[in-house]
Amino acid sequence: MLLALFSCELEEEVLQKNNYRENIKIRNSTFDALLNEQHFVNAISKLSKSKPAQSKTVMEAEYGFTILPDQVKVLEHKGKTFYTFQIKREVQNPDYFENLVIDTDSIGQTDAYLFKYLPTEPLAPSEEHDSFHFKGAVHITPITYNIAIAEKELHCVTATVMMCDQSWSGSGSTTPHVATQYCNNPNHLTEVTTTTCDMTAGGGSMGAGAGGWFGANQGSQGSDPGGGHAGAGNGSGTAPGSNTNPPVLTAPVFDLDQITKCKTISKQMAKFPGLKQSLIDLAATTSDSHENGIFIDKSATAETPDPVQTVPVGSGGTIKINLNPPQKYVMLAHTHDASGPKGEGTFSIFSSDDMATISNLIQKGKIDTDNFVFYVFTADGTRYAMTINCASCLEAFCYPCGENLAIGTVLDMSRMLQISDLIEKIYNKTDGIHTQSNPEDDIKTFLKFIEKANLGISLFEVDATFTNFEKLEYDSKRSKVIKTPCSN
Amino acid sequence: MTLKGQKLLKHLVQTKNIHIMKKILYLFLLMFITTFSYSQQEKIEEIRQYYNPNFNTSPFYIYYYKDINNYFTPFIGTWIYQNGNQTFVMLFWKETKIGYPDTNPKYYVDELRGHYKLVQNYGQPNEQLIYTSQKNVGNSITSWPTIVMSNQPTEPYKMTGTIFDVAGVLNPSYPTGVRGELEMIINPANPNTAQWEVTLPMGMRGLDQPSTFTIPTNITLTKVNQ
Repeated sequence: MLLALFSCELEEEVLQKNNYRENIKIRNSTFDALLNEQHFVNAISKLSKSKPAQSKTVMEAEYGFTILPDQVKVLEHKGKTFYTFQIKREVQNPDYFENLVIDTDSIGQTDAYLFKYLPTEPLAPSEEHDSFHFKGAVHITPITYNIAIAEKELHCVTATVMMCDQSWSGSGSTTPHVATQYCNNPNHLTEVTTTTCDMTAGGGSMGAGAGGWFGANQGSQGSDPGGGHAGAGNGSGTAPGSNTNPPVLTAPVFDLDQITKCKTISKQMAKFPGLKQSLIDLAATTSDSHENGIFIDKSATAETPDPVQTVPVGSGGTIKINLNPPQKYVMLAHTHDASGPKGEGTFSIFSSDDMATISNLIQKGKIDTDNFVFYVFTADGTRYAMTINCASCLEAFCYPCGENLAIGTVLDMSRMLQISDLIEKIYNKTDGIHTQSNPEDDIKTFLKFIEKANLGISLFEVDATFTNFEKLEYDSKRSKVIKTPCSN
Repeated sequence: MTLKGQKLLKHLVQTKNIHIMKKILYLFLLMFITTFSYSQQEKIEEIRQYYNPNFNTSPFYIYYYKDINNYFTPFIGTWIYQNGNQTFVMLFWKETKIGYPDTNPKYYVDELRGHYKLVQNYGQPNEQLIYTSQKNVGNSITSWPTIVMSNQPTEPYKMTGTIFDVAGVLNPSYPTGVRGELEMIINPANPNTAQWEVTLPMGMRGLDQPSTFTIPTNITLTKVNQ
């Protein structure tokens, strides 16, 4: 009898969960498209205290972020609408990404929160589902304005983060990933409830609370959270005090191109239609007895008649880059010629000096790191492109580097020796990259170099037509290079 | 059972619990000491492994990459190249078990270190120094511990590595001078002579970056003492 009653309760709970999930609507949008929706315009106007059409809202200025407008997730549930945007700061911290969540109800009451997601494992894309896997912690900060110190109070925010374990094809993975509009089966939607408590003030969080933690395979399948509770299961944070507000509903938004960087290349190709032919022409010069190079700087627009400029060749047959150009570089391409420094051939991939020069340019603020693409074409018939994922990582590589040491400076000689050792390990030694090494082995060695030197870059192989790009990654467990075609 | 008996039983149970807890504590302490000792264990590897990008290290060991095969020995000593009354002098010495405690995992390595100088009237009472690598790096107060780096020989009679040419006029923006790739090969038939070659590494450079060597780049060195 008791068992029967318990079963009924469980069944009712399952029905409630399904009912809750069925009532959630997820759709994708853009900031510009949302400006045509009065409900959103009202919400953002209340928060930003300025007209939404202005280039930057007061909210962004006060909290020091910029909304990325291209991708917005809109979640609707029981008359409430939750808009989730990815935001960006002037100095990006590679350890986390942030979202702005705007929560508005049918009578126009609006709140906004900053969600800081701290991955404990590298973010992995699941591109077919336009999603990604996330495992880590989340910290929520309510957006508030001009609260006097005396008015600060402990404020707890509970959020429900939507995940999905739906397979998108017969052979697709069912590993939980962040919910998107494609997760259309409520049986596969899972909620992770998390709570953060903070002393709220005008400048943001005072750090009194604790962030919640959740992972792709740790999501608690909570019941209808309409009543507002302090979190459940593995997703809960520590929540002193009670919270009577209903949870904020969201699904993380993260531009996958920050992982894949494929779009960085394709966008640049699309912006400069003549670039492809310039790269093809440059790649045809690898039989010269010296290196050749071209570049585009930030002054070039899509309308610039000839945005591609030539890099001068210096002594020893290597090209010499202006390290103090008037504009930041957005593209650099160069060849490794057949002769090489000793007339014995070439490196089939980027050299350590190539990396050091890019590092030096970042230190000088002369690279548009978000949009930068760097190419090398070699006499071995290889063609590679690289993009920057972590500017501060690559910036740290060159040491001491093109800097005027002040009198009395103390150098970190140990660091200098270690960088030198790592370069020697990767290049020149018998098992490393050298003029006679196998290009396929060189890819593997260079990918190890990226990891060991923490260069923070993505590497791509380019085909002869400069139409197809494959992202190259090293699977250390299987000691194998994984080549993933860029789909765009 | 009387109240006294109950108290005694309670006391016995508490005492027993304390004993069990103590045993658990000792067990944990033993496990901790064992693990700690294990994690501190030193493992000697042949120096070739230090430069092997495919060599996988274990976080449980402190590695010591040692010159087990004495590849360093033929290089140690003073080598000279004479051109008129000027002599290029290269001195190599061995330092053992240099520690790098900030790395993960920590390691030690044997290093063949070196410094060069150019003198006039070498070995004469009127010997005059033209340049030397035994100085500070640029305007810093850090001296060069060695002017050759990553040059540990990993095969008989052959050494490759990095050398810094700091003999030219200092460009303050480039405190390490011109970085070169050094290859020194000892003639096995006459181990007192060696071919010395310095080349510019392949790669892109800055427009104002120095790339011309002042030190000799292609010479035959003669060993004058051990």
